[in-house]
Amino acid sequence: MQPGTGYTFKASSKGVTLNIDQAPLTWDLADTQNSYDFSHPYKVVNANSATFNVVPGMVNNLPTLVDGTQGVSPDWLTDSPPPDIDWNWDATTNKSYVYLAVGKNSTTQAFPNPVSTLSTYPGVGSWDHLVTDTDDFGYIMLAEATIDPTTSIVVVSQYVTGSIWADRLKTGTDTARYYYARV
Amino acid sequence: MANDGKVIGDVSHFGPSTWGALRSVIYNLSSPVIPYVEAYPHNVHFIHGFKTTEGNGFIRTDYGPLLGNASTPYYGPNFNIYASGLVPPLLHAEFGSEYQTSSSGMIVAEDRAQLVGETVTYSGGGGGTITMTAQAFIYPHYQMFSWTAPSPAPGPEPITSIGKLTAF
Repeated sequence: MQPGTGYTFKASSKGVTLNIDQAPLTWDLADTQNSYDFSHPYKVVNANSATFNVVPGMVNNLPTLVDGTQGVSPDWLTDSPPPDIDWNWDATTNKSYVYLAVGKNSTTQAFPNPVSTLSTYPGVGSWDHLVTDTDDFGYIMLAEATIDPTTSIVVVSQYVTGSIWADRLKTGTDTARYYYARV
Repeated sequence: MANDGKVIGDVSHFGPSTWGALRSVIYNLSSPVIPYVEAYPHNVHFIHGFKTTEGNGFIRTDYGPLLGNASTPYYGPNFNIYASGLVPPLLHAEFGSEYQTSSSGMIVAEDRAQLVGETVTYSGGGGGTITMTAQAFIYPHYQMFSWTAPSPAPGPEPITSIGKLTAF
């Protein structure tokens, strides 16, 4: 036996004693190094009046980008430090809506589109209005936020609490409908 | 959930992998217009057929036809109508949901029960209506009815409407 980090051995005629010199490590849910709260994927965290972060999550096993950065200067939610996402506030209602936008590949028809250089790759962003599904994109609301115009305090209501799987079903000429399951 | 070796959440196979894996529209096999459906990874386009008027439009199936029939995705819940055998103008005709038995099939029993008693309208051969019975779901002899057809004998005739369902 050899001593290691945090523990030592002491041998005597009575035998060998193991001394634990350092408390065991604990899993810190609040990762202070990355300023993350890892309580669940797609959680909106670190919200201030201008920006917020989102805990990394996946849709159909695909990691997620910041919406609008696909094929431009990709900002992955898994980047360190986490990418700051700009709020888009409705000036009247003082609300903003955080959506995961998932599109299909227009060539292969695969859903979600697995090509991260295309705009239809899964991305998280903030909208100042409620968004309606289209044939190209399904939108699932991850969270809704309200800003106090006087104090600039942001209150977030979180709706999605985990990574998800998604399917796209279309009948005839109706707009496609999107179905999600949490994993 | 296992289905022919596939599991819910399988990203490598085409068709839906979550809620939609056990849902479908009802194909109109009497229609000569093909294909009925196009399926891609997690993305299904049901091109034409019947959907439920109430609810989300889909019927329940315990078979997962899209998962099990990559080469023939139109092999799914359906209705068909056809004439056979006799000389016009009087033909023996059958209306039925193929791939069904008396106790199981592609449409779950609860949904079949919802359709029994509904009016089926068909065109061609003089057209007409019948009232769907439970026999429409029992192989090999589905629901039989008399049909006055034009001469020469017609081929498959489209089913134009079914109660509780919307054609699309």
